[in-house]
Amino acid sequence: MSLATLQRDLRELIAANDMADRSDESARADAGLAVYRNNYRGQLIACLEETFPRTLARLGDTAFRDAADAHIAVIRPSNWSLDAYPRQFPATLEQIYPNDAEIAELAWLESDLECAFVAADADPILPKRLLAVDWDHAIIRFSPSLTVRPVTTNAPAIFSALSAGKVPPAVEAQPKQAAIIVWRQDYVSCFRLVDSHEADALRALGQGTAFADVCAVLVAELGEGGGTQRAGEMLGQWISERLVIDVARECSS
Amino acid sequence: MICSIPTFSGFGVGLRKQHYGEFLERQAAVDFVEIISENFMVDGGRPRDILRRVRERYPVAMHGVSMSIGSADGLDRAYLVRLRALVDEVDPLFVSDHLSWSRIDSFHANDLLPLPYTEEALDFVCGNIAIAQDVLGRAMLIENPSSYIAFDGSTMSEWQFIDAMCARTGCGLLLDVNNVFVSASNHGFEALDYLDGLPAHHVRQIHLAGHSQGDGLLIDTHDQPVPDPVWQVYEHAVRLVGPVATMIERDDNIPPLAELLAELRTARQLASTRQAA
Repeated sequence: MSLATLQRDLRELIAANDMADRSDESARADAGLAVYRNNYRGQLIACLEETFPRTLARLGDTAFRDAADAHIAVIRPSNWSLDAYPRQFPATLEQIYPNDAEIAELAWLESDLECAFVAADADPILPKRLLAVDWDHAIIRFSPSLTVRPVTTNAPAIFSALSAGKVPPAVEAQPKQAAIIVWRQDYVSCFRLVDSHEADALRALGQGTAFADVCAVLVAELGEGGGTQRAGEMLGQWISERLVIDVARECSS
Repeated sequence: MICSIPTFSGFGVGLRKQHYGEFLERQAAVDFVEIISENFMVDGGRPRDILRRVRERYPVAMHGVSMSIGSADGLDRAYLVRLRALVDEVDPLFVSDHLSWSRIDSFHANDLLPLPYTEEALDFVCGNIAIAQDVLGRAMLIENPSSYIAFDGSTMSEWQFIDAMCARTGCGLLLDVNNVFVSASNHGFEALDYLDGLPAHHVRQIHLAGHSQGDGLLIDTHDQPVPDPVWQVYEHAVRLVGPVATMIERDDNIPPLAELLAELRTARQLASTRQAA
Protein backbone atom coordinates (compact mmCIF):
# COMPACT_ATOMS: atom_id res chain seq x y z
CA MET A 1 0.00 0.00 0.00
CA SER A 2 1.37 3.41 -0.92
CA LEU A 3 1.85 6.06 1.76
CA ALA A 4 -0.83 8.24 0.18
CA THR A 5 -3.35 5.40 0.23
CA LEU A 6 -2.48 4.54 3.82
CA GLN A 7 -2.95 8.16 4.87
CA ARG A 8 -6.30 8.48 3.09
CA ASP A 9 -7.49 5.22 4.67
CA LEU A 10 -6.39 6.36 8.12
CA ARG A 11 -8.11 9.71 7.56
CA GLU A 12 -11.40 7.90 6.97
CA LEU A 13 -10.94 5.65 9.99
CA ILE A 14 -10.31 8.67 12.21
CA ALA A 15 -12.93 11.05 10.84
CA ALA A 16 -15.68 8.56 9.94
CA ASN A 17 -18.94 9.52 11.61
CA ASP A 18 -19.93 6.01 12.58
CA MET A 19 -17.39 3.23 12.86
CA ALA A 20 -20.25 0.70 12.87
CA ASP A 21 -20.79 1.56 9.21
CA ARG A 22 -17.36 0.28 8.36
CA SER A 23 -16.67 -3.29 7.43
CA ASP A 24 -13.21 -3.19 9.01
CA GLU A 25 -14.01 -4.97 12.26
CA SER A 26 -10.41 -5.14 13.37
CA ALA A 27 -10.07 -1.38 13.06
CA ARG A 28 -13.12 -0.83 15.21
CA ALA A 29 -11.59 -2.96 17.91
CA ASP A 30 -8.25 -1.27 17.76
CA ALA A 31 -7.69 0.66 20.97
CA GLY A 32 -4.90 2.66 19.36
CA LEU A 33 -7.15 3.88 16.61
CA ALA A 34 -9.71 4.86 19.23
CA VAL A 35 -7.15 7.21 20.77
CA TYR A 36 -6.77 9.08 17.47
CA ARG A 37 -10.53 9.14 16.91
CA ASN A 38 -11.10 10.52 20.40
CA ASN A 39 -8.38 13.12 19.91
CA TYR A 40 -9.91 14.19 16.61
CA ARG A 41 -13.47 14.61 17.85
CA GLY A 42 -12.46 15.85 21.27
CA GLN A 43 -10.35 18.70 20.03
CA LEU A 44 -12.96 19.79 17.46
CA ILE A 45 -15.66 19.89 20.11
CA ALA A 46 -13.32 21.66 22.53
CA CYS A 47 -12.44 24.34 20.02
CA LEU A 48 -16.14 24.95 19.28
CA GLU A 49 -16.91 25.21 23.00
CA GLU A 50 -14.00 27.60 23.57
CA THR A 51 -14.95 29.83 20.64
CA PHE A 52 -18.69 29.97 21.38
CA PRO A 53 -19.15 30.06 25.18
CA ARG A 54 -22.19 32.34 25.02
CA THR A 55 -23.82 30.33 22.26
CA LEU A 56 -23.23 27.25 24.41
CA ALA A 57 -24.83 29.02 27.38
CA ARG A 58 -27.78 30.04 25.21
CA LEU A 59 -28.37 26.56 23.79
CA GLY A 60 -27.42 24.47 26.80
CA ASP A 61 -24.91 21.62 26.85
CA THR A 62 -27.03 18.99 25.13
CA ALA A 63 -28.28 21.11 22.23
CA PHE A 64 -24.83 22.61 21.71
CA ARG A 65 -23.22 19.16 21.63
CA ASP A 66 -25.86 17.97 19.13
CA ALA A 67 -25.11 20.97 16.93
CA ALA A 68 -21.36 20.37 17.26
CA ASP A 69 -21.83 16.71 16.31
CA ALA A 70 -23.87 17.73 13.26
CA HIS A 71 -21.19 20.21 12.26
CA ILE A 72 -18.33 17.73 12.69
CA ALA A 73 -20.25 15.16 10.66
CA VAL A 74 -20.36 17.50 7.69
CA ILE A 75 -17.40 19.86 7.99
CA ARG A 76 -13.91 18.39 8.25
CA PRO A 77 -10.99 20.58 9.33
CA SER A 78 -9.00 21.79 6.34
CA ASN A 79 -6.60 24.35 7.77
CA TRP A 80 -3.32 23.94 9.63
CA SER A 81 -4.75 26.20 12.32
CA LEU A 82 -7.50 24.77 14.47
CA ASP A 83 -8.61 28.39 14.98
CA ALA A 84 -10.06 28.30 11.46
CA TYR A 85 -12.41 25.41 12.20
CA PRO A 86 -15.09 27.27 14.21
CA ARG A 87 -15.66 29.91 11.52
CA GLN A 88 -18.25 27.83 9.66
CA PHE A 89 -20.14 26.78 12.76
CA PRO A 90 -22.55 29.77 12.72
CA ALA A 91 -23.64 28.74 9.19
CA THR A 92 -24.41 25.26 10.54
CA LEU A 93 -26.49 26.86 13.32
CA GLU A 94 -28.41 28.86 10.70
CA GLN A 95 -29.44 25.55 9.12
CA ILE A 96 -30.28 23.83 12.39
CA TYR A 97 -32.24 26.78 13.83
CA PRO A 98 -33.83 28.54 10.81
CA ASN A 99 -36.55 30.07 13.01
CA ASP A 100 -34.26 31.19 15.83
CA ALA A 101 -32.00 33.64 14.07
CA GLU A 102 -30.59 35.00 17.32
CA ILE A 103 -28.65 31.76 17.87
CA ALA A 104 -26.60 31.95 14.68
CA GLU A 105 -26.25 35.73 15.05
CA LEU A 106 -24.88 35.26 18.56
CA ALA A 107 -22.40 32.73 17.15
CA TRP A 108 -21.41 35.03 14.28
CA LEU A 109 -20.68 37.77 16.80
CA GLU A 110 -18.49 35.44 18.87
CA SER A 111 -16.66 34.27 15.76
CA ASP A 112 -16.09 37.81 14.49
CA LEU A 113 -14.75 38.90 17.88
CA GLU A 114 -12.26 35.99 17.82
CA CYS A 115 -11.12 36.95 14.33
CA ALA A 116 -10.72 40.60 15.29
CA PHE A 117 -8.58 39.57 18.28
CA VAL A 118 -5.80 38.33 15.99
CA ALA A 119 -6.37 40.57 12.98
CA ALA A 120 -3.43 42.50 11.56
CA ASP A 121 -2.19 45.42 13.64
CA ALA A 122 -2.75 48.94 12.33
CA ASP A 123 -2.31 52.24 14.14
CA PRO A 124 -5.25 54.66 14.08
CA ILE A 125 -4.74 57.81 12.07
CA LEU A 126 -3.13 60.70 13.95
CA PRO A 127 -5.47 63.68 14.48
CA LYS A 128 -2.97 66.11 12.95
CA ARG A 129 -3.14 64.21 9.65
CA LEU A 130 -6.85 64.92 9.43
CA LEU A 131 -6.21 68.65 9.23
CA ALA A 132 -4.70 68.30 5.76
CA VAL A 133 -7.35 65.98 4.29
CA ASP A 134 -9.18 67.07 1.16
CA TRP A 135 -12.54 65.53 2.08
CA ASP A 136 -13.93 66.03 -1.42
CA HIS A 137 -11.47 63.39 -2.65
CA ALA A 138 -10.89 61.34 0.47
CA ILE A 139 -10.72 57.54 0.53
CA ILE A 140 -11.04 56.24 4.10
CA ARG A 141 -9.19 53.11 5.16
CA PHE A 142 -10.43 51.21 8.17
CA SER A 143 -8.76 48.89 10.63
CA PRO A 144 -8.20 45.44 9.07
CA SER A 145 -10.03 44.01 12.07
CA LEU A 146 -13.35 45.60 11.01
CA THR A 147 -16.26 43.42 9.95
CA VAL A 148 -19.81 44.56 9.15
CA ARG A 149 -22.45 41.84 9.46
CA PRO A 150 -26.24 42.10 9.07
CA VAL A 151 -28.28 41.40 12.18
CA THR A 152 -32.01 40.82 12.45
CA THR A 153 -32.36 40.22 16.20
CA ASN A 154 -31.14 41.64 19.49
CA ALA A 155 -28.30 39.11 19.56
CA PRO A 156 -25.85 41.86 20.68
CA ALA A 157 -27.97 42.51 23.78
CA ILE A 158 -28.17 38.77 24.44
CA PHE A 159 -24.39 38.56 24.09
CA SER A 160 -23.86 41.40 26.57
CA ALA A 161 -26.25 39.89 29.12
CA LEU A 162 -24.62 36.45 28.89
CA SER A 163 -21.17 38.05 29.21
CA ALA A 164 -22.27 39.81 32.38
CA GLY A 165 -23.86 36.66 33.82
CA LYS A 166 -27.31 38.20 33.61
CA VAL A 167 -30.56 36.74 32.33
CA PRO A 168 -30.65 37.57 28.61
CA PRO A 169 -33.53 39.66 27.27
CA ALA A 170 -36.33 38.13 25.24
CA VAL A 171 -35.62 37.88 21.55
CA GLU A 172 -36.61 40.98 19.61
CA ALA A 173 -36.35 41.92 15.97
CA GLN A 174 -33.98 44.71 14.92
CA PRO A 175 -35.01 47.49 12.55
CA LYS A 176 -34.50 46.44 8.94
CA GLN A 177 -30.96 46.25 7.58
CA ALA A 178 -29.22 46.90 10.87
CA ALA A 179 -25.73 45.47 11.31
CA ILE A 180 -23.13 44.68 13.95
CA ILE A 181 -19.67 46.05 13.46
CA VAL A 182 -16.76 44.28 15.14
CA TRP A 183 -13.21 45.60 15.40
CA ARG A 184 -10.27 45.75 17.77
CA GLN A 185 -9.08 48.70 19.81
CA ASP A 186 -5.48 48.08 20.83
CA TYR A 187 -5.76 44.46 22.01
CA VAL A 188 -9.44 44.36 22.92
CA SER A 189 -12.14 43.23 20.49
CA CYS A 190 -15.35 45.29 20.59
CA PHE A 191 -18.64 45.61 18.76
CA ARG A 192 -21.45 48.08 18.18
CA LEU A 193 -24.89 47.92 16.62
CA VAL A 194 -25.26 50.27 13.64
CA ASP A 195 -28.26 51.34 11.56
CA SER A 196 -28.64 50.79 7.84
CA HIS A 197 -27.14 54.18 6.89
CA GLU A 198 -23.94 53.53 8.79
CA ALA A 199 -23.73 49.90 7.67
CA ASP A 200 -24.10 50.91 4.02
CA ALA A 201 -21.56 53.71 4.46
CA LEU A 202 -19.01 51.39 6.06
CA ARG A 203 -19.45 48.76 3.35
CA ALA A 204 -19.13 51.32 0.57
CA LEU A 205 -16.08 52.97 2.10
CA GLY A 206 -14.55 49.56 2.71
CA GLN A 207 -14.85 48.85 -1.00
CA GLY A 208 -12.99 52.05 -1.87
CA THR A 209 -15.89 54.44 -2.49
CA ALA A 210 -14.90 58.06 -1.93
CA PHE A 211 -16.18 59.69 1.23
CA ALA A 212 -17.81 62.44 -0.85
CA ASP A 213 -19.83 59.85 -2.77
CA VAL A 214 -20.99 58.25 0.48
CA CYS A 215 -22.01 61.71 1.72
CA ALA A 216 -24.01 62.22 -1.48
CA VAL A 217 -25.94 59.01 -0.82
CA LEU A 218 -26.67 60.11 2.74
CA VAL A 219 -27.88 63.50 1.49
CA ALA A 220 -30.17 61.75 -0.98
CA GLU A 221 -31.59 59.59 1.81
CA LEU A 222 -31.72 62.09 4.68
CA GLY A 223 -31.84 65.49 2.99
CA GLU A 224 -29.15 68.15 2.61
CA GLY A 225 -28.79 69.11 6.24
CA GLY A 226 -29.50 65.69 7.74
CA GLY A 227 -27.21 63.79 5.37
CA THR A 228 -24.24 66.10 5.87
CA GLN A 229 -24.70 66.13 9.62
CA ARG A 230 -24.95 62.35 9.78
CA ALA A 231 -21.81 61.90 7.69
CA GLY A 232 -19.89 64.19 10.02
CA GLU A 233 -21.17 62.42 13.13
CA MET A 234 -20.25 58.99 11.78
CA LEU A 235 -16.79 60.12 10.74
CA GLY A 236 -16.19 61.63 14.17
CA GLN A 237 -17.26 58.44 15.88
CA TRP A 238 -15.12 56.22 13.64
CA ILE A 239 -12.08 58.37 14.40
CA SER A 240 -12.77 58.38 18.14
CA GLU A 241 -13.22 54.60 18.07
CA ARG A 242 -9.83 54.19 16.35
CA LEU A 243 -11.46 52.59 13.34
CA VAL A 244 -9.84 54.92 10.78
CA ILE A 245 -6.22 54.08 10.04
CA ASP A 246 -5.63 56.23 6.96
CA VAL A 247 -7.23 58.73 4.65
CA ALA A 248 -5.86 58.68 1.11
CA ARG A 249 -6.56 61.00 -1.78
CA GLU A 250 -8.84 59.57 -4.46
CA CYS A 251 -6.98 58.84 -7.67
CA SER A 252 -8.30 60.97 -10.56
CA SER A 253 -9.35 58.84 -13.52
CA MET B 1 24.97 14.78 6.54
CA ILE B 2 26.24 16.60 9.62
CA CYS B 3 23.80 18.59 11.74
CA SER B 4 24.80 22.24 11.53
CA ILE B 5 22.62 23.45 14.40
CA PRO B 6 24.76 24.83 17.27
CA THR B 7 24.38 23.24 20.68
CA PHE B 8 22.63 25.23 23.40
CA SER B 9 22.77 23.59 26.79
CA GLY B 10 20.20 25.61 28.73
CA PHE B 11 17.04 24.59 30.59
CA GLY B 12 13.60 25.93 29.77
CA VAL B 13 9.85 25.46 29.89
CA GLY B 14 7.03 25.77 27.42
CA LEU B 15 5.45 29.23 27.36
CA ARG B 16 1.77 28.88 28.22
CA LYS B 17 -0.73 31.70 28.57
CA GLN B 18 -1.34 30.94 32.24
CA HIS B 19 2.24 32.10 32.88
CA TYR B 20 2.53 35.11 30.54
CA GLY B 21 2.35 37.55 33.43
CA GLU B 22 5.07 35.85 35.46
CA PHE B 23 7.42 35.66 32.49
CA LEU B 24 6.89 39.33 31.67
CA GLU B 25 6.82 40.81 35.17
CA ARG B 26 10.01 39.18 36.43
CA GLN B 27 12.91 37.19 35.10
CA ALA B 28 11.95 33.54 35.50
CA ALA B 29 14.69 31.03 36.30
CA VAL B 30 14.88 29.61 32.80
CA ASP B 31 17.51 29.78 30.08
CA PHE B 32 14.92 29.79 27.31
CA VAL B 33 11.23 29.33 26.64
CA GLU B 34 9.62 27.26 23.94
CA ILE B 35 6.53 28.48 22.10
CA ILE B 36 4.00 26.55 20.06
CA SER B 37 4.69 28.25 16.73
CA GLU B 38 1.12 28.08 15.45
CA ASN B 39 -0.22 29.99 18.48
CA PHE B 40 1.69 33.01 17.23
CA MET B 41 1.31 32.55 13.46
CA VAL B 42 -1.52 35.09 13.47
CA ASP B 43 -1.69 38.44 11.75
CA GLY B 44 -1.48 40.57 14.87
CA GLY B 45 -3.09 41.38 18.20
CA ARG B 46 -2.17 40.44 21.72
CA PRO B 47 -0.44 37.09 20.91
CA ARG B 48 2.15 38.82 18.75
CA ASP B 49 2.62 41.56 21.34
CA ILE B 50 3.19 38.96 24.07
CA LEU B 51 5.74 37.17 21.92
CA ARG B 52 7.65 40.38 21.14
CA ARG B 53 7.87 41.21 24.84
CA VAL B 54 8.85 37.65 25.84
CA ARG B 55 11.52 37.61 23.16
CA GLU B 56 13.03 40.79 24.62
CA ARG B 57 13.65 38.89 27.86
CA TYR B 58 14.34 35.27 26.87
CA PRO B 59 15.81 33.17 24.08
CA VAL B 60 12.95 31.39 22.32
CA ALA B 61 12.66 27.98 20.68
CA MET B 62 9.85 27.54 18.16
CA HIS B 63 8.03 24.22 18.26
CA GLY B 64 5.44 23.45 15.61
CA VAL B 65 2.62 20.93 15.46
CA SER B 66 1.15 21.48 11.98
CA MET B 67 3.90 21.16 9.38
CA SER B 68 2.86 17.58 8.61
CA ILE B 69 6.36 16.57 7.60
CA GLY B 70 5.18 13.09 6.68
CA SER B 71 2.41 14.05 4.26
CA ALA B 72 2.48 12.04 1.06
CA ASP B 73 1.20 15.03 -0.90
CA GLY B 74 3.88 17.46 0.18
CA LEU B 75 3.96 20.49 2.42
CA ASP B 76 1.65 23.49 2.62
CA ARG B 77 3.71 26.30 1.10
CA ALA B 78 1.56 29.04 2.61
CA TYR B 79 2.17 27.54 6.04
CA LEU B 80 5.91 27.46 5.45
CA VAL B 81 6.00 31.07 4.28
CA ARG B 82 4.08 32.20 7.34
CA LEU B 83 6.36 30.17 9.60
CA ARG B 84 9.41 31.70 7.91
CA ALA B 85 8.08 35.19 8.64
CA LEU B 86 7.77 34.33 12.33
CA VAL B 87 11.23 32.74 12.34
CA ASP B 88 12.68 35.95 10.88
CA GLU B 89 10.98 37.99 13.59
CA VAL B 90 11.85 35.75 16.53
CA ASP B 91 15.34 34.57 15.54
CA PRO B 92 14.78 31.39 17.58
CA LEU B 93 17.27 28.96 19.04
CA PHE B 94 15.54 26.10 17.21
CA VAL B 95 12.66 25.48 14.84
CA SER B 96 11.12 22.07 15.37
CA ASP B 97 8.19 19.89 14.38
CA HIS B 98 7.25 16.23 14.60
CA LEU B 99 7.97 13.04 12.73
CA SER B 100 4.30 12.54 11.91
CA TRP B 101 1.64 13.64 9.48
CA SER B 102 -1.64 15.47 9.90
CA ARG B 103 -2.71 16.57 6.41
CA ILE B 104 -3.71 14.67 3.28
CA ASP B 105 -5.54 16.32 0.37
CA SER B 106 -7.73 19.01 1.93
CA PHE B 107 -8.10 17.24 5.27
CA HIS B 108 -6.14 18.44 8.29
CA ALA B 109 -6.46 16.24 11.36
CA ASN B 110 -4.67 18.76 13.62
CA ASP B 111 -3.06 15.75 15.30
CA LEU B 112 0.29 13.99 15.13
CA LEU B 113 -0.57 10.87 13.17
CA PRO B 114 1.89 7.98 12.88
CA LEU B 115 3.90 6.96 9.83
CA PRO B 116 4.86 3.52 8.61
CA TYR B 117 8.62 3.14 8.74
CA THR B 118 9.29 2.24 5.12
CA GLU B 119 11.70 3.41 2.44
CA GLU B 120 8.84 5.17 0.67
CA ALA B 121 7.88 7.11 3.82
CA LEU B 122 11.53 7.93 4.40
CA ASP B 123 11.73 9.42 0.89
CA PHE B 124 8.66 11.59 1.51
CA VAL B 125 9.84 12.71 4.95
CA CYS B 126 13.34 13.56 3.77
CA GLY B 127 12.03 15.37 0.70
CA ASN B 128 9.65 17.40 2.84
CA ILE B 129 12.34 18.23 5.40
CA ALA B 130 14.63 19.41 2.61
CA ILE B 131 11.91 21.72 1.28
CA ALA B 132 11.09 23.04 4.75
CA GLN B 133 14.72 23.69 5.58
CA ASP B 134 15.14 25.47 2.25
CA VAL B 135 12.13 27.74 2.82
CA LEU B 136 13.09 28.40 6.44
CA GLY B 137 16.72 29.02 5.55
CA ARG B 138 17.92 26.86 8.41
CA ALA B 139 18.11 23.29 9.64
CA MET B 140 15.20 22.00 11.70
CA LEU B 141 14.83 19.75 14.68
CA ILE B 142 12.46 16.82 14.22
CA GLU B 143 10.82 15.29 17.29
CA ASN B 144 10.27 11.58 17.74
CA PRO B 145 6.53 10.92 18.11
CA SER B 146 4.49 8.98 20.60
CA SER B 147 2.13 6.60 18.86
CA TYR B 148 -0.77 4.26 19.51
CA ILE B 149 -0.76 2.16 16.38
CA ALA B 150 2.02 0.52 14.36
CA PHE B 151 1.94 -0.66 10.77
CA ASP B 152 2.56 -4.21 9.61
CA GLY B 153 4.29 -2.84 6.52
CA SER B 154 7.10 -1.13 8.43
CA THR B 155 10.48 -2.41 7.35
CA MET B 156 12.61 -0.69 9.97
CA SER B 157 12.37 0.44 13.57
CA GLU B 158 11.54 4.02 14.45
CA TRP B 159 15.10 4.69 15.58
CA GLN B 160 16.51 3.25 12.36
CA PHE B 161 14.14 5.51 10.42
CA ILE B 162 15.25 8.53 12.45
CA ASP B 163 18.92 7.67 12.01
CA ALA B 164 18.48 7.51 8.23
CA MET B 165 16.41 10.71 8.22
CA CYS B 166 19.10 12.64 10.07
CA ALA B 167 21.86 11.28 7.86
CA ARG B 168 20.05 12.25 4.67
CA THR B 169 18.77 15.69 5.65
CA GLY B 170 21.20 17.03 8.25
CA CYS B 171 18.26 17.84 10.50
CA GLY B 172 18.70 17.78 14.25
CA LEU B 173 16.69 15.76 16.73
CA LEU B 174 14.34 16.91 19.40
CA LEU B 175 14.34 13.90 21.66
CA ASP B 176 11.13 13.60 23.66
CA VAL B 177 11.99 11.04 26.31
CA ASN B 178 8.37 10.78 27.44
CA ASN B 179 7.39 9.89 23.87
CA VAL B 180 10.05 7.20 23.85
CA PHE B 181 8.69 5.79 27.10
CA VAL B 182 5.05 5.94 25.91
CA SER B 183 5.77 4.30 22.55
CA ALA B 184 8.04 1.69 24.13
CA SER B 185 5.21 0.72 26.48
CA ASN B 186 2.57 0.75 23.73
CA HIS B 187 4.59 -1.19 21.16
CA GLY B 188 6.65 -3.45 23.37
CA PHE B 189 10.23 -2.34 22.80
CA GLU B 190 12.88 -1.23 25.28
CA ALA B 191 13.20 2.53 25.71
CA LEU B 192 16.93 2.26 26.29
CA ASP B 193 17.41 0.22 23.10
CA TYR B 194 15.63 3.03 21.28
CA LEU B 195 17.97 5.65 22.74
CA ASP B 196 21.03 3.56 21.96
CA GLY B 197 19.90 3.31 18.33
CA LEU B 198 19.51 7.04 17.80
CA PRO B 199 22.19 9.26 16.26
CA ALA B 200 23.04 10.96 19.56
CA HIS B 201 25.21 13.59 17.87
CA HIS B 202 22.10 14.97 16.13
CA VAL B 203 20.18 15.62 19.36
CA ARG B 204 19.94 19.33 20.15
CA GLN B 205 16.97 19.44 22.51
CA ILE B 206 15.17 17.15 24.96
CA HIS B 207 11.52 17.32 25.98
CA LEU B 208 10.38 16.08 29.37
CA ALA B 209 6.70 15.49 30.03
CA GLY B 210 4.17 13.24 31.70
CA HIS B 211 1.53 10.87 30.38
CA SER B 212 -1.67 9.10 31.42
CA GLN B 213 -2.86 5.51 31.50
CA GLY B 214 -5.48 4.88 28.85
CA ASP B 215 -7.42 1.78 27.90
CA GLY B 216 -4.49 -0.60 27.67
CA LEU B 217 -2.23 2.10 26.31
CA LEU B 218 -0.19 4.98 27.68
CA ILE B 219 -1.46 8.30 26.35
CA ASP B 220 0.90 11.19 25.72
CA THR B 221 -1.30 13.74 27.49
CA HIS B 222 1.38 16.14 28.76
CA ASP B 223 -0.92 16.89 31.68
CA GLN B 224 1.07 15.30 34.51
CA PRO B 225 4.41 15.86 36.22
CA VAL B 226 7.35 13.96 34.76
CA PRO B 227 7.08 10.46 36.32
CA ASP B 228 10.02 8.50 37.70
CA PRO B 229 10.33 6.07 34.77
CA VAL B 230 10.65 9.02 32.37
CA TRP B 231 13.30 10.60 34.59
CA GLN B 232 15.22 7.32 34.29
CA VAL B 233 15.03 7.46 30.51
CA TYR B 234 16.20 11.07 30.72
CA GLU B 235 19.22 10.08 32.79
CA HIS B 236 20.22 7.57 30.15
CA ALA B 237 19.62 10.11 27.38
CA VAL B 238 21.79 12.86 28.85
CA ARG B 239 24.61 10.40 29.35
CA LEU B 240 24.40 9.58 25.63
CA VAL B 241 23.89 13.01 24.12
CA GLY B 242 25.75 15.29 26.54
CA PRO B 243 24.68 18.84 27.39
CA VAL B 244 21.78 19.94 25.17
CA ALA B 245 18.74 22.16 25.70
CA THR B 246 16.21 20.51 28.00
CA MET B 247 12.70 21.64 28.75
CA ILE B 248 9.56 20.71 30.65
CA GLU B 249 6.64 20.48 28.25
CA ARG B 250 3.22 20.77 29.89
CA ASP B 251 0.23 21.27 27.60
CA ASP B 252 -2.77 20.62 29.80
CA ASN B 253 -3.67 20.74 33.49
CA ILE B 254 -1.17 23.59 33.68
CA PRO B 255 0.22 24.01 37.22
CA PRO B 256 1.72 27.14 38.78
CA LEU B 257 5.00 28.07 37.11
CA ALA B 258 6.84 27.31 40.35
CA GLU B 259 5.96 23.61 39.99
CA LEU B 260 7.41 23.47 36.49
CA LEU B 261 10.53 25.30 37.65
CA ALA B 262 10.92 22.72 40.43
CA GLU B 263 10.82 19.96 37.80
CA LEU B 264 13.36 21.92 35.80
CA ARG B 265 15.69 22.02 38.81
CA THR B 266 15.44 18.23 38.97
CA ALA B 267 16.42 18.06 35.31
CA ARG B 268 19.40 20.34 35.91
CA GLN B 269 20.55 18.17 38.82
CA LEU B 270 20.20 14.91 36.93
CA ALA B 271 21.93 16.29 33.87
CA SER B 272 24.76 17.67 35.94
CA THR B 273 25.23 14.41 37.82
CA ARG B 274 24.99 12.18 34.76
CA GLN B 275 27.26 14.28 32.60
CA ALA B 276 29.85 14.47 35.39
CA ALA B 277 29.72 10.68 35.66
